[in-house]
Amino acid sequence: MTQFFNDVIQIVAKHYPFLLRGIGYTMLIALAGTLIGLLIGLATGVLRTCPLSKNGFVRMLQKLLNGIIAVYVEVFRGTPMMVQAMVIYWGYAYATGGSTLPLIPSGIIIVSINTGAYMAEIVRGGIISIDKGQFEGAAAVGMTHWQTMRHIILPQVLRNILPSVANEFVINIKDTSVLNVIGVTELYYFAGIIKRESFQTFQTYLVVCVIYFVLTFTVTRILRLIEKKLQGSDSYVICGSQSDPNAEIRVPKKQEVPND
Amino acid sequence: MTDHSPVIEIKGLCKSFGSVDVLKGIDMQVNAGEVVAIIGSSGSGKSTMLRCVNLLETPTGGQILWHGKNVQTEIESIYKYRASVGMVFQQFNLYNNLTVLQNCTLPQIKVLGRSKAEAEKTAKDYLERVGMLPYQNARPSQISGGQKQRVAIARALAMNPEVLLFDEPTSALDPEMVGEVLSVMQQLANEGMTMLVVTHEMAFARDVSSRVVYMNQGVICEEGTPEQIFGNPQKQETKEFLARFRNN
Amino acid sequence: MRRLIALTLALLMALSLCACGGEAAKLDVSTAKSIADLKGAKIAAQSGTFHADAMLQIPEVQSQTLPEFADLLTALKAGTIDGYIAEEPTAIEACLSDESLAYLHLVNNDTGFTATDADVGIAVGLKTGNELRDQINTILDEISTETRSELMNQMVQLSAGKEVTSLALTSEAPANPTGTLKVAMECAYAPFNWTEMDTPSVGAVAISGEGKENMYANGYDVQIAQYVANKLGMTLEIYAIEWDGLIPALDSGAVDAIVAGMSPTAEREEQIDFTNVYYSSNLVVIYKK
Repeated sequence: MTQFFNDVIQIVAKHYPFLLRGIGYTMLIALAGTLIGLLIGLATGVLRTCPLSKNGFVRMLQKLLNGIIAVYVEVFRGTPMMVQAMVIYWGYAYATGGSTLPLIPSGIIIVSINTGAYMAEIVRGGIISIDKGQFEGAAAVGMTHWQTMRHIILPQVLRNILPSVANEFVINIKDTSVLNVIGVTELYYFAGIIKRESFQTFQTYLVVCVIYFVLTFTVTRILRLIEKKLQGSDSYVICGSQSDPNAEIRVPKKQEVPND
Repeated sequence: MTDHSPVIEIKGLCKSFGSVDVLKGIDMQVNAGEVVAIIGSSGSGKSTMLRCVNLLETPTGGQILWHGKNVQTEIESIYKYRASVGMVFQQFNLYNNLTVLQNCTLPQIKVLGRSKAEAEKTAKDYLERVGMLPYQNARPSQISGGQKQRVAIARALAMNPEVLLFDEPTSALDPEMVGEVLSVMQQLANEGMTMLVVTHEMAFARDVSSRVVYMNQGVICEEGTPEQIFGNPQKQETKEFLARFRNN
Repeated sequence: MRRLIALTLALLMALSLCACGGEAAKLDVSTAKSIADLKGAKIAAQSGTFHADAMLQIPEVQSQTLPEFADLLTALKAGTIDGYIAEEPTAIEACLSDESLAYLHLVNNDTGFTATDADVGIAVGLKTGNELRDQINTILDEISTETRSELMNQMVQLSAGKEVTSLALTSEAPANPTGTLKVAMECAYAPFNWTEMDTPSVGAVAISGEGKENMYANGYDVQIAQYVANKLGMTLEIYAIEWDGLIPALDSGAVDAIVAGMSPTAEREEQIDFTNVYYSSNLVVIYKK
């Protein structure tokens, strides 16, 4: 047992620069992939909920675009990311006659495209779930579809889908591990090297397991905090006087709010 | 206001949802300074008619003329048109992600192109008038229904519309909150705002409006001054409708 | 507190799984003199290799394949198999690094597996029609059998963490390189090719590619690749690519050659060209003492 823990400590002590580098790339790829994926999701969400234009040509273009988005979502949700990584990475090499994409950007691109497909559905669900009255309230004052989306709908959608986005982020932290098939130097890649060098497979993966857990757990907690912050308080307290209409009316500072 | 040129003219307006004909040829006009109350039982098409006026619903037949121009074919921008026809909804439809003040400034800034300072000044003026200025930083989820509706009215007014459309503005409110909204509306009427009000508040229709339109089954059944409609209705349907209300 | 207890329990369970796994396999393979004696044993091999095919030559074998070579060792240590198939250099290296391991000294086509050079020999893979093939063949053929086995022996020592001062196969780097030779290998198949971090051993070559800073490759394949590149008058670049990505990398033109302990099997010959064999080894079975 002590031998076992010694091995574990040895692995960490000897390889921590590489473990740190692995953590760095894992987080970079997961974070960038989630954010870009979210942007893809928002863009496709706006496009897909846009009312069809009266102009025949524009309408055809819209339908074509919607078709492409639908195919994109189905294909990338319906295939494993590991397979996508191989197809995109080596497909690019075949297409360009041998030049390969740099590895880290490749990783980010693959995770982004994959996440984008999920986000497209999450955002679409988020937009659908927004009360119709919000759209009408915006339309009635003369806002365009884009203005409505940008200022009214998407901010609400973002708040509503934050738990799902957080979930995608956590999934991505774990799923970047499949990128080792194209040689991206994320955490799992280094785990492979360390286990081959040390012949201590179980110990190595235990270390990596703990690291992944710490990463996802921390991220989950941070996002939960942000969520809470965005939700805000349910009541709006005004200090004033019921009996004296001329008394000063003001909104109290936070600490003044009675804690009931 | 004494100018009686028609602001909105509705000619042969029809609207059907699938095979259901909701509006079967509506003809009416709203003149500047008029307060037109539209009454009728649920399902008579009065809300749909109102929603057709600012094109939230697309008419399936007939025309809507804005200062004599067909709003579907002859005006330059549907967005500008909607900006000059304010709308107050039954469910308030305040923007949930924005504060009370932002609800009133955003449309001004984005649609009318006003500066932030100008928009805030206008917004605060109208919030003051509806008594909601102290709540300017509250969010819609933090205020009551009556308060929401007053903000919604301030939001519509801040756009300086020529006409205000009200779609059952008090129907979703608790009874004790109806008064605060109606008093704001009455004040607006007194100031000469042109208003088209779909309502179940018969007292409001009788006391505030300059003309009452009774709709039944997708057509205008009877139309006249409040005295005529409430005092001496001509049609059997109108009589029955009003009788039902008195009994309640 | 409850969370902590749950976590500790889960950890203990995982550990106990590892500790008691050893009881599962029963057959003692250490006394086997030929593959016939392995009758009915639980043997594993890396999938997609000739090893997996050869494994079936064992009578009534309970075969199992795993995608990654290093995982075979994990399976053996966990006790789920009696032994796994490896090439002799790999087996020596594994047994040097880990005292609990030993291997059966089988000889191909005698006491061991039936195999041809195309099965167990390894060759440099080139894109079909590559004109360098003849030149590389000439260079490879110049390396004597003694040098090959001495180099392999050194690589086995090196990868098991032993000291090696000078290599059996050396060459001068060209003063004016005429180009770059991009070579792909897994860098994960000691002693043929492996990855080193931070401190390179004698003869190690830096791995090219983004995110691979301070990472080096060494091994028999690396030395052969270095030798070939020098003799061709070219600069060597090594790319660490997963086994499944090797042929796409060559095919697409991302690299010029595969030097990855790859056997010139008939199926692979259909897709790429191979040079002459630059090492040939016995297939053996690694087991736990």
